[in-house]
Amino acid sequence: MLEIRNFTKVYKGGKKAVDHFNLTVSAGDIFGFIGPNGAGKTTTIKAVAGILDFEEGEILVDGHSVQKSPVDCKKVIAYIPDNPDLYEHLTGIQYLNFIGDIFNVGKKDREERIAKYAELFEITGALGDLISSYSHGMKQKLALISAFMHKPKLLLLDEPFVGLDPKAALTLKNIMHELCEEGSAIFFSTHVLDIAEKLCNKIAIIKEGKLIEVGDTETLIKNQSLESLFMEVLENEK
Amino acid sequence: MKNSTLILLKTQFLNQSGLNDLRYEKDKKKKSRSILLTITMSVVVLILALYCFGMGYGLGSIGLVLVIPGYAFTLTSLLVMFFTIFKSSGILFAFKDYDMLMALPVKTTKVITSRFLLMYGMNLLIAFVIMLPMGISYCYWAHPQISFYVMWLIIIFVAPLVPMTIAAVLGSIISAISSRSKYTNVVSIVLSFALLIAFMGVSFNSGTLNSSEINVDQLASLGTMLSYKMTEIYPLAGLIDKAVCQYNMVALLAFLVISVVWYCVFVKIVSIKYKAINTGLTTHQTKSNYKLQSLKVTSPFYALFQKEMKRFFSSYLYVLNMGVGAVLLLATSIACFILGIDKIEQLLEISNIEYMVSSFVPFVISAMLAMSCTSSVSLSLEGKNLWILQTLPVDSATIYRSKMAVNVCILLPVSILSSLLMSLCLKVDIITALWMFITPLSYVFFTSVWGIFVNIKIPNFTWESEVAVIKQSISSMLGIIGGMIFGIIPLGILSILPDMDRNLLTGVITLVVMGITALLYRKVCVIKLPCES
Repeated sequence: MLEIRNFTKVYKGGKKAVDHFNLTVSAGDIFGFIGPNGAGKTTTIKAVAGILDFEEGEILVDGHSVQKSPVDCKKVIAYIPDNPDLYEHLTGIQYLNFIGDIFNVGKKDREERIAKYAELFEITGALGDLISSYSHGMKQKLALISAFMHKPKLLLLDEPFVGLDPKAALTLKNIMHELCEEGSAIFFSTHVLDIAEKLCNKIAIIKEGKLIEVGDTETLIKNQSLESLFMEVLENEK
Repeated sequence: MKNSTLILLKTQFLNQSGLNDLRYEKDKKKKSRSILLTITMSVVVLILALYCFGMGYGLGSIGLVLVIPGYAFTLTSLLVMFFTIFKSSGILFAFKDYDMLMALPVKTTKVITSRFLLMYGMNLLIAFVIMLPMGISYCYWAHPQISFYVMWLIIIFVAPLVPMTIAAVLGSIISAISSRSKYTNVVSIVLSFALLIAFMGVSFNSGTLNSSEINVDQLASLGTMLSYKMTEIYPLAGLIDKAVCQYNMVALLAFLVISVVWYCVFVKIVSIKYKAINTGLTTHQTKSNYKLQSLKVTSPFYALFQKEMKRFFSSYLYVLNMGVGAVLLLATSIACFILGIDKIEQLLEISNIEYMVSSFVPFVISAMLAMSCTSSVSLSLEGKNLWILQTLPVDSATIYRSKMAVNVCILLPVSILSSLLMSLCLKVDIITALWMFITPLSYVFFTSVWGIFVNIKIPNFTWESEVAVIKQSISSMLGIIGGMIFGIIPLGILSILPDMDRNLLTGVITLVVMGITALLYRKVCVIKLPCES
């Protein structure tokens, strides 16, 4: 579903944020992407989402190149940044309908999915209010619903659990499982190692722009915790 | 501990002025853009200063030397007032870092003072650009005593205070009234436009000299009349006249005391209601009782267009600044239609005006329409929301088209209505009437395409306040001024070629504009949406 080949990103000023990064995410994967602050997680996710230009390497989504066929890629992707700034002058339902129109989601599917996910995240009543009146958590919930609207094949989430209350976090985990069972792939970054350990079937660890560990969660952590593995790997890489 | 007002002021200045971009920006493209902006602004300031000097010199050369100080002062005050009314919302009220600032252990009066001083700094530039060169021209003609120089410098620094406060009071009243309403933005916009039209009406009435009052041969009485009219518009101008021209220290002292006391009273009063106004302006009524209803499905283009329309009408600053040209044009056209050609001829004391102005009117309408260039800031206004557009599965051209379509939809009815009213008012022949419609329409499309083109080339997504994009960005200036210049150049061409067939010339110019629009449109449609780099 997602193939990242030799992806390198050098920011203006010469800073190498990501260095010859390779990764494959298959349909059905819940892929956790972890690393310290400034390691290159957001840069990688943004490049996959088509927000960030890059000069070296190739990123393929569902067989399409992000650089050559961006619109084809975006049709099957849903991306949520770490701090979802949404259109504050729209109401929640107007925003969801806007996303539905852009992604060509049919009327019946749209209404069913909005009803289902809004109910699960308990924000149905607030959908008629302006987004500017929403709390951070509510905006996050709305962004998540908009991401699920078109049944994406690849879900890119940057720190999706930040700002969610415990119940919403559990709901999100359940939806992630459900989507993967239906054949979608999820690639998400997180600093909450407990969540990554329990939720992901695969893990990638990035440090200073380089992939230092990747594989099945169980194989990687063996008898220890993800936290211990993470600390150990970081120490060894010094 | 340092003065907290100064600390706040310094931080806000660094945040908004772009000085840090010049000093610390590593991206060479962005840095050169900042340098270009600085150079452009400096050139504009220099040209304005030269223009003001020329104005003062001109007054002096026809013997109206004593009018210069009062004239410079009144002009400064009017401009400061005009610009501050529309800045108070966004700088003084409902600014983005309000929560952060109000949480600091600083008195509300100091927060207000720091915000006010920020506006003062911007307005001081206006005062210097007008009053310094006009002061120099006064010195050239009047050879004043040494005390003039000291007084004039003091006056320049104090001049913006009262007009700023008056404007901020009006702005505050508008903000206070609208903050009590459910439809905050709509109320603000309507009140501001009403104020703007009233303001222009008063200026026009007070500023128009009735020829029966003046004996042009007696320039001395013209000077007296001008001074009288200025004092009528702005009473403090009388004090300045006395202080500067007659070296009256009491007048100067009175002016200083009035200015400072007025300012202190303003800050005190506003600080009492400051939180209430800001809370009213920044909070929204929520019902939280929404029940899912049937949803309307539209095309991606129409969804983007609707979103863009809502964006325009949800922003007070956006509507006010970009709608001003269209509103003024409509008001002028209605006024002309109601007054009728005979009354206009009578007012201007020119006969057979139809032939003279009928060929100019399409371009005057066009230039005024060009002032409402919403597309020149529409991309920048995406700001932190840009990621949404960047991740949507639509091509860039559709996004640009939706932004241009908003501009066209706002201007189209105004253009047609104004053309209709003006053709009825001027009673022109059928061919001229045709151009009266076609030429402005071609400019409607040109303005929309030109605006988005400029904004794609010079975007600013990293703003804190909409003011930075709508009022202070290069793309906004180029969008509006560029479009207006395109409207004004043909006026020059028509003036220097008086013997040519007016309709033919108008037709050729209109076709050229259409051609440029088509070329720009084709260019715009293939430009990729700006990505992070």
